[in-house]
Amino acid sequence: MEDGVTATQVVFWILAVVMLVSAIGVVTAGNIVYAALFFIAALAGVAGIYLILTVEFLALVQLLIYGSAVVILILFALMLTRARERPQALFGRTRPLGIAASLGLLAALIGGIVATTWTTPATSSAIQSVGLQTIGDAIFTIWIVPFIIVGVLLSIALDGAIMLASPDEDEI
Amino acid sequence: MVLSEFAGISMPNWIDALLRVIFIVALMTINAFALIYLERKILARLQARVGPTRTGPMGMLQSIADALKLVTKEDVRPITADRWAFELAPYMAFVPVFLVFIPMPFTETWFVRDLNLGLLFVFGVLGLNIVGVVMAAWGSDNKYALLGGVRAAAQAISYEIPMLLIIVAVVMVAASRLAVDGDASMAGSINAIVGDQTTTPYILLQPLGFVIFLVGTLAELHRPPFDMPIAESEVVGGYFVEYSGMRWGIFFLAEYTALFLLVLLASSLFLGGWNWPFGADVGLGLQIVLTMVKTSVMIVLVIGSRALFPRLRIDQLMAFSWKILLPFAIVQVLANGIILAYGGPDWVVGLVSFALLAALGGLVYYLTSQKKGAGARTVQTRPATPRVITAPEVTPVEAGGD
Amino acid sequence: MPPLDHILIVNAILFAIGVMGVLTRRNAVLILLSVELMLNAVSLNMVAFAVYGQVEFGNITGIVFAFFIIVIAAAEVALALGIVVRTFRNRATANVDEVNLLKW
Repeated sequence: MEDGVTATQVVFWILAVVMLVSAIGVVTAGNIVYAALFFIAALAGVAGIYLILTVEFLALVQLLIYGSAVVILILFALMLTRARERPQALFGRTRPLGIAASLGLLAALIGGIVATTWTTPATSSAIQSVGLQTIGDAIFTIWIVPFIIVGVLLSIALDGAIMLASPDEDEI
Repeated sequence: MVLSEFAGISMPNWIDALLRVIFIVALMTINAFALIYLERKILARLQARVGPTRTGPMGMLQSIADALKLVTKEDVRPITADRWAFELAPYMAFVPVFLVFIPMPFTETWFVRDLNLGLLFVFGVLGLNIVGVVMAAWGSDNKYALLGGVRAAAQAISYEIPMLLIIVAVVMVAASRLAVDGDASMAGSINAIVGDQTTTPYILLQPLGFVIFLVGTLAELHRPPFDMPIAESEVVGGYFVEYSGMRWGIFFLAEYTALFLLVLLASSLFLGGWNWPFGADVGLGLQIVLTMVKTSVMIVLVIGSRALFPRLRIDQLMAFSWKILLPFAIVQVLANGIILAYGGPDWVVGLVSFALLAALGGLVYYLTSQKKGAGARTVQTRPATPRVITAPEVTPVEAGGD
Repeated sequence: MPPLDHILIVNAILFAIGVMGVLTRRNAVLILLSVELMLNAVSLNMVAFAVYGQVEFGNITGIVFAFFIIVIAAAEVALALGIVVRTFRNRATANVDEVNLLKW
């Protein structure tokens, strides 16, 4: 992959930095709503990297599902839990241990990545972009049974969520 | 190539891109001015008034006067507001709407980019708009703003789902038609869908889709009868109640731009966009006129709805989306799938959709014509408010603090 | 396109940040957000492998995996938020350390 620094790589690193900084914001922000907003920024960064990897479909699905639906659900939960009225302890006593553990994990992961020889195409131009039709064919032919199962799982999960969140009869 | 095709000038890519951006910004501004004027005039006529008359000929400079007032107004931020969320919210609400211009076709060759996933792009990006609304609602530190924002968010996700399903149904029809004389894999591109409607506008094939899309558009734009989030008499204007001056203006600009874009999308998907109805071929110059005429007719419909319908209650509004529109949209997708998989002709698709539309109309008529209370009980669930109060000593109003 | 190992390193950092969030945060909603970050890092990895190995292995299973991960994440968020709302109604807290009774 020694074909110099291309514009795509520059964009990739900009997106990566935005994504990682926002992710750090998610885990360090002192306010739940800020964390949720940083989370949107991190997800937008992930969607941008999907775009660089030529998987536009996934990037748009990411924006559609996470960007609107999940974030709104999260903000709903925040309003239910009165985050602003009663500031709660956001970090536990084991914080230094947690940071140390995650840094250790990071070191192990990066060590593994650097030590492995990845069999990738010789030049980046040999990488084909993935069309929507290819993805559709894969999902609806090879992976159709998992697709149906995941649909059933999603509807069961939503039913369960409604059951959990709706009040008991005596509470009304 | 906006100019190069029209005048035969060749130019570097960056000038072309710049021209397109300038074109869109100009269009957006003029559109907002025109829509503000139109809304005031149309509403006034529908209410037997005359509307603005003093500023300029027939009051046509009224929007410019409004804009001048907005720009010179003091920009106030409440002292308890959250600084970052409050100040960034208008941009967060505006930028996604602006991006939606990218795949919109104005004529056969006039668009910023003809994206293959144009329809998914529109909804994926437009959905981010609600983040700005929620930021404004939470950042303002005002209980009415918070209520309005939560209502807006609930309404936006509820009505997005039937709209997306209807888009799926439309794309199914488009793909099966394009497979005959085109490339079926382009069916996600808005321009390809418009190009397929030279002889048959899709409103004839998917009338139910058109109605659901129109209802969803009204809901996404917080237009009556779905204007609970910005209802003045209940939440004093909703999520932008604390905004003034240019920040408020940006919210307004976003709203009118979204109105124009969604209506343009509806006229592209269902009314045939830049096509002359039923097949006559017209030149590039007439195509943009046709697009604008179709869009304007629908804009008048949307604006007129403000004078024609009373406001729905919030639980009626949610129930209408989840219990009526969503099942009908799912049935439409299933019906299209079955008909198209067995190679049914176009008129069967249209007939089934018409039948579903008639069923929807009949159901809504039945539910609304019931004796007082009976119809409401069929549509609505248990009243929403007491549920939230049951959480220990919380009322939804206190949720944001003040 | 950037080299594969650059993408993998970025994803590893994102995953580690998610782990840090899960281990240090005590609020249930924030832990959920951190888990979502980890899921995103994993699905980015899958997509990177699929795109770079597409020619050699002749399939794009990783992209399909990422698609399924998004669906599972949506189901997970819905359930987890239901649990948070329920917990908050019973115990008036969203702090996972205070939810320490099996029976109420």
